[in-house]
Amino acid sequence: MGSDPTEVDLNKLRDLVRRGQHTGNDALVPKTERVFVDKGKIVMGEDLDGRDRQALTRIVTETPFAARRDDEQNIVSRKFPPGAKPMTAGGVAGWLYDVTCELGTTYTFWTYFDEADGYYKTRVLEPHIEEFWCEPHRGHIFTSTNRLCLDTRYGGGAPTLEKAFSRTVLWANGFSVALQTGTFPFSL
Amino acid sequence: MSDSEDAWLARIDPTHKAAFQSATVMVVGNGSVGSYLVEQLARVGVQYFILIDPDTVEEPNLSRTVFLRDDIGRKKTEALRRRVLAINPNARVITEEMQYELVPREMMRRYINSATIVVAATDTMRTQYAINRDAYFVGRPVVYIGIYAAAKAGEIITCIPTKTPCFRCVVGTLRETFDGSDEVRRETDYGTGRVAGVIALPCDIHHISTTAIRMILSIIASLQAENSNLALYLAGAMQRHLSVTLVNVEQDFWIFKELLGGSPGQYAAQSIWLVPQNDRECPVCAKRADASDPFSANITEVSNEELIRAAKQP
Repeated sequence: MGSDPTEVDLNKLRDLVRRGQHTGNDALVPKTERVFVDKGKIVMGEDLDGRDRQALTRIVTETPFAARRDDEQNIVSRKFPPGAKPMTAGGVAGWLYDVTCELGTTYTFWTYFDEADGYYKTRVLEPHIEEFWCEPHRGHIFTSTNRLCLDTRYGGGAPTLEKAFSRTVLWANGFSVALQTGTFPFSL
Repeated sequence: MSDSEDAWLARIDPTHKAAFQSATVMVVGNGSVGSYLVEQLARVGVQYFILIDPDTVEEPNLSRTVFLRDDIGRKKTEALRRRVLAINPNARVITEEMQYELVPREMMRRYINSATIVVAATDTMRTQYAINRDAYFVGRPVVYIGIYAAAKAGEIITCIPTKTPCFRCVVGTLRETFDGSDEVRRETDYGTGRVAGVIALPCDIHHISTTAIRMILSIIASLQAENSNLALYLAGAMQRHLSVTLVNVEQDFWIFKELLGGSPGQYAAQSIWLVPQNDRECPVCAKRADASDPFSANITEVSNEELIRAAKQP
């Protein structure tokens, strides 16, 4: 296959880009599957022979999103409660799962990566907190969105999915106590 | 602009006039810090502004902003646009009367691309982070201004892509160093997620803001007169990696007491300049070549209705 743009196999290009995206780490993309630009023309890795390597610009085909999603899947399958599943809402991908705390209450949570600040956040879907809790500050919850305040150091979020999950479980147990005593037993 | 039209700038250093007049400053958050800052920039000749703020001028704003009683009920951006035009009728002011995250992403890319510098003066950390990610990706400097509890002190964080750690890294450093400092933490409104308004003297807020204004003008001045005293003001700090500035107005407040309290002749107002560290895992500035395009991401908060709808789907 030649390097003239009219001869570029677009199906093959699409496949290479997709494979690169799913690799999640650009360094792992095999040399023959890399994609370059030579003076505005697409060149596949297997067609590099005879070209001036200095003039080539490599197109990074991985997407951090794909890599992050794979990492998340790995953590969810190993550490989240059974039944945790992916759920996309409003174009934002996250994980839906139930947590039953020590006092027996079951909460349904959605934990997701917030693209605005780069932290993981958790929203509570069940039970409907607003129906029986009207002191948001003492409940560590942002009432307009039912988003948990997991850690004040990170704008109410957490730097990793794993930390967000563990703080969510902590919140559930603390909140269940608060429902009975009126006071959150610890600060978050 | 003709010389006669320029007469009102006669007392501005001609070395910097062209740089000020050609600069575009994007200011996100047009409250007590942002509105004061915009007016000060307009008065030295800056005439291209992009103003973003969803709020409306209310009566309590009159004590600490540049707004007038007639502005009550107007959007802050519109009131500020009028203020700028009252100083310089030739100014061009673009306004967005909405939260930063709600501005269409491609429009935001254009705004930041066209800006010489971005100023982040919002009351929402999430927005400050979003500005950080966007501006770093485009390669624009940002000055972040934060006022601590009761405006006894504040922080100014200067982020210049590839030269300084980004805002996220800086905040991380500050948290690690000063975690648990309730003295400086402002209460968050759990309904809105915004930092709650505080009782404070406007002169205290403006003192901190004024330091930031000098930094902004220093960055702008460096574009055309890099060896001028004004340009060298911030360049000197950057050479020493001092990209975080803490400014107090009350003596012996917080770490100022520990660091400067024993020094003879020291009293408020004071400043302490810090060297923040890069987070090697920072998704914004650690791996710039691999960074994903933030303008292709949805950064609006998912509504409760969208969330419930998604959860009901099989």
